[in-house]
Amino acid sequence: MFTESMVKFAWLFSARDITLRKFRSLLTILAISIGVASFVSLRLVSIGVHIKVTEEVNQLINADLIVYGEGVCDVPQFVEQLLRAIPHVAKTTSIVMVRGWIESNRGKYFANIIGCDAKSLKEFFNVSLVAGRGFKEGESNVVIVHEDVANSIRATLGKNVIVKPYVMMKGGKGYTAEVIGISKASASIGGFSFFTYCIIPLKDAQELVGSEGYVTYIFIKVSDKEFIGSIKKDIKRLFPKALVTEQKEITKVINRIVNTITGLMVALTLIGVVVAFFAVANTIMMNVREHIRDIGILKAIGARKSYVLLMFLLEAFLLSVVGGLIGVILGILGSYALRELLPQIGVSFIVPIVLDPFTLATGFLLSIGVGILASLYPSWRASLISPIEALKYE
Amino acid sequence: MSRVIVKLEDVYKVYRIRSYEVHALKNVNLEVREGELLIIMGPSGSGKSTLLNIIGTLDRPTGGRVILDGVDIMQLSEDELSYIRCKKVGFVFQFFNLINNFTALENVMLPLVLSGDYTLKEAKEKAIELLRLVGLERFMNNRPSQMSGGQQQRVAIARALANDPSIVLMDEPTGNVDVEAATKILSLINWLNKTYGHTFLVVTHNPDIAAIGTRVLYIRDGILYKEPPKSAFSRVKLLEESADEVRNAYLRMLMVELTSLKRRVLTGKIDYKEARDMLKRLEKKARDLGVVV
Repeated sequence: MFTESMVKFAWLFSARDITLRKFRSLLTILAISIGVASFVSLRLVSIGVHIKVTEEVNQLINADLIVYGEGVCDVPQFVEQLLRAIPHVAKTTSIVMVRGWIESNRGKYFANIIGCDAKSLKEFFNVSLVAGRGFKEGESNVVIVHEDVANSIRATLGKNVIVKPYVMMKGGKGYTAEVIGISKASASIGGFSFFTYCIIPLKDAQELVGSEGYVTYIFIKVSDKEFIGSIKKDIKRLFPKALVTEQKEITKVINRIVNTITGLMVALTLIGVVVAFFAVANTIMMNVREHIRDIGILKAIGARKSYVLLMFLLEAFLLSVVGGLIGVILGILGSYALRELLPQIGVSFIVPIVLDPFTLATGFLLSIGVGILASLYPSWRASLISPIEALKYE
Repeated sequence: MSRVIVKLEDVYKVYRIRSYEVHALKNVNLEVREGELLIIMGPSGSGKSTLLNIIGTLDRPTGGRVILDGVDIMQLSEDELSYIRCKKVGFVFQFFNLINNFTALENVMLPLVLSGDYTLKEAKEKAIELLRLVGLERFMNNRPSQMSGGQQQRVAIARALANDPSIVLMDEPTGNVDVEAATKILSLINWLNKTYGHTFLVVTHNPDIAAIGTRVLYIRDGILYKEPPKSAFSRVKLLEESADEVRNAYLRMLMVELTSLKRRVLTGKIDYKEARDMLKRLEKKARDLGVVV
């Protein structure tokens, strides 16, 4: 349709336009790059949050498979022995986990109440303590409190707190325990922790929810990750009613929540992209207006409609390529700046910045897409201008 | 007898502007032969630009037939017309109409590139020779804004000749340049026609150009004549008819000035001496218009 030299000439025309109108081109490029930059930086940060949260969950719950029932606490504890007999199962532990809260004389705070035995405290929960110690075998009425919770209810080591599950034995008064350890705060955004918890000995937890001999979860560690699938099948065969989840599925669920929040933020940045759209449309419209006579000349000496269209689309393309590149670079820098800002709005962790190629490519393509789309209508209008009218235009 | 390049048969053109119609061309019949330098003389509004645009396929006639180099252009699509304009027609306009984003050389290369027949290197080579032809090869890297009107027009001529068209159409080629540049341009046209047999059709209202033509035609109100028609006097008459109206307009303007003066005197915006001078001037104007003061 177009020969190589035709395209080169159209290219020359557009490039001269940009260099002859530096200031205007610069402003347009800025509009595009800011739109792209805001998109790229927010997406990079949300990917960082995603990675961090996954890391955090993996660190906290160190189990390959989790077996549980349909109720809150309805897995018979003897099942653990049977599961341990399955080939390639390395370690197992029984866990009680219910939603509840911790009370002190200074207030109360929601937390997941986790009951586990002393041994699995180390093996299955990578709890790092900022103060105090873990509990020993046979110890009772002790609790390890999550840092955020401890700060909020002013629970210090040696102080007594009351742990209360939502679902409690009839007439239960909760569980009074001495704070013996405070664990490090995990990922939280805006004061909302994904996983605030307190840990008490398993037996105490079972008593507390009134279900001795039953647990909420049985955590399994396998000897080799490649057997996860087959072990899962074996469990399903032995206990058809049991629910089995792999750890990565849990992180998936948590990440879905994180994604909803970050997705919303990224959606907001699209406003910037819309602004870029109008900036490009405006520039091309002004360009067309300035070049009406040129369009007349071009048509008079034999340029086809499609060639005029090509010329103006090429200009938008050029602007958006430059704007896109600058935008991606600004976006990367912006993501680092944003990371420094995040602690001030209540994000408790340092977000790792990973230069996700998909995000960078999306940002770049977004700018080109916006550039071409925005210039389509003004360029098309330009191609329709009648040469006689155009040549009369002053 | 040489080949017929352009043939117009009963070409009619009507512009519709809102409620009334303008008959720009009325049954024009015309033949332009190869090697001719045809001049069409006419005042502005006589339909000469419309005629040129129709021959150049920029405009379509309302009725009649246009045959350009053996091709009936009435049936052609827009893209086919673009091709004809590129290969068979060269345009030279009154206002040079070079593209300012391009240098002189690139402007001359443009029709060659648009034809699709040349690589950039070939187009450049040919364009340099074309510029040499019009004596501007030294200015080939200048942009139009860095050249005089006469130089620009010669670049435009080089551009018009680029694809070796069957005919070069010119609309007031000397209308916007000084006398010296005009002489240069005219001798260039004359030389290209006499020596190389390029066919030209020039429309103008400048009688000097008529001197170089191999044939001269006259156009008035959309009709072609072989001799200059004597219709210029009707326009003078028209002015006499509207004399009363013009006088009344002058009187009404005087009234407005007088009102303004009165207001300024009453509000103290103007001092006495100035006001008196002003009044005297207005009195004189009124007397000139035949009002007894």
